Amino acid sequence: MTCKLRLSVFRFDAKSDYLPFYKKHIIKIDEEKTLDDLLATIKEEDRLFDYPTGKTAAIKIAGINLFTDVKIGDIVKNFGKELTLMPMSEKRAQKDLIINDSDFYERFDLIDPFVDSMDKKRFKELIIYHYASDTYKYKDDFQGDALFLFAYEMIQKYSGQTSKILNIIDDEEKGIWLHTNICGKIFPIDYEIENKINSLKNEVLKARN
Amino acid sequence: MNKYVLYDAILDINKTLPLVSSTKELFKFLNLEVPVLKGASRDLGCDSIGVDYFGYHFANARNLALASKENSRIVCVEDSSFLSLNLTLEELGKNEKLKQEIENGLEKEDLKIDLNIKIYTLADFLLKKIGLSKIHKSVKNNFGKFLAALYLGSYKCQINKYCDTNNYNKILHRLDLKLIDYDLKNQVSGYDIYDLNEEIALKMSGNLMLDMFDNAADFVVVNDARSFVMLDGLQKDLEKSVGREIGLSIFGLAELLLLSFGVDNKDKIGLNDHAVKTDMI
Repeated sequence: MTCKLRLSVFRFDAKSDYLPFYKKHIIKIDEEKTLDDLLATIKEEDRLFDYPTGKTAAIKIAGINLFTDVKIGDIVKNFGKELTLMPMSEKRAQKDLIINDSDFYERFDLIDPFVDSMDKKRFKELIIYHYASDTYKYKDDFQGDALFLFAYEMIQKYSGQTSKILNIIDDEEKGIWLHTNICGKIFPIDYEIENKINSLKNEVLKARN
Repeated sequence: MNKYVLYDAILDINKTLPLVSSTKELFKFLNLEVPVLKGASRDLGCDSIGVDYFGYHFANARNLALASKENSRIVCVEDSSFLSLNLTLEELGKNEKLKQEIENGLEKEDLKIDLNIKIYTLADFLLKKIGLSKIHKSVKNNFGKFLAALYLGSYKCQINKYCDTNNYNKILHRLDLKLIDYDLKNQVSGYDIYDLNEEIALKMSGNLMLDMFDNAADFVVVNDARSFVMLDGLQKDLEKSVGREIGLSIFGLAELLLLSFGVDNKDKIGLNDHAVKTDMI
């Protein structure tokens, strides 16, 4: 089924712009298509528009981060037909919906010595959690929820490294204790995130004793 | 006929007393018999699961068992405790080991866990027992000329798993209250990190309130203890943090309903216990 979307699309070029602006588009698209298809259609209308591509490409709609492989029908059902498309992090915006995600990859370096380099692939898949956090918005050096979720998985995979990994995130200045709820900040909702973070906090406390 | 008990042992009671007193007064006004759940343990807040998993679930399970012993369903004054009780109920349903350990502990008090116990938010309970049309008929002071910001708190997403938070909108709509939309409605209040990083916590709530203010809100409606503490109790600190005056009254659902029903005794409504005094009466 085709639907008509009214879009406001975040536009910004870090090289030349001081402030972002929003460009309006009205686009008819099949609900079976994906957000990635929608972004490609916008690009057809405006060749200067840039957006993230690839398996872990993600943006923000209505304050909620989501990967671009989500179907349009699911987006319409949850967010309606008037959508504002934003980069996952406005303060990291580089070109339109593309962000400078170097700070996200720097977080991997914290745990890198205790895991296999092949695990970085899994870490990349957690990018939406990093930029979804409200704490991160207020504190640039917050380790971030992607790192915590990655740590949760890695201590199960490499149990011999548990105490070293937990020691990294047990940081009162920028670690797991500054986590704030992100359940409603990613789409689709994942209720398990908070359970994992709480379980990790319990492990951190056990490791202290 | 189903019996109900009111769970009023909410977070930060020194700062959230108005939520409790107004709910009791509202039930009195509506002739609803909902006695307080006696001997209940205080809600620890779901962020404490990460600090004391067993202690958190034990306290909630005990509260659930106390209500079961009285063959009663639970009505929650506010939504933080509603979430806590539901999280434990769900955990008990899927973690047999935890259930067994808690049951062993509860045996000393002759308490038993009933996984089928029903838990209601204040909004759900009012819709079930009173209904929208009766609420509408009881309105003496309508709020048609006001704009309000509804903030459902840092845990809205999880709360919505166990109830329909849209019921707040439905009730407020019947008071003719117009709700504003604002960008930060899904942002956390910062309550959970206040003790660790006061500066960021205050900025979170401060910016949240500025967003409401700048979108023309005349007052704010909340119904969870965390939000009430941050937005009412700490509003002066929020103002300092963001460098602007805010001065927005914060109301719980029961307070707003009482005002709407024409109750104007500030003591009974709980308004005298607010940090931010209202000039709406």
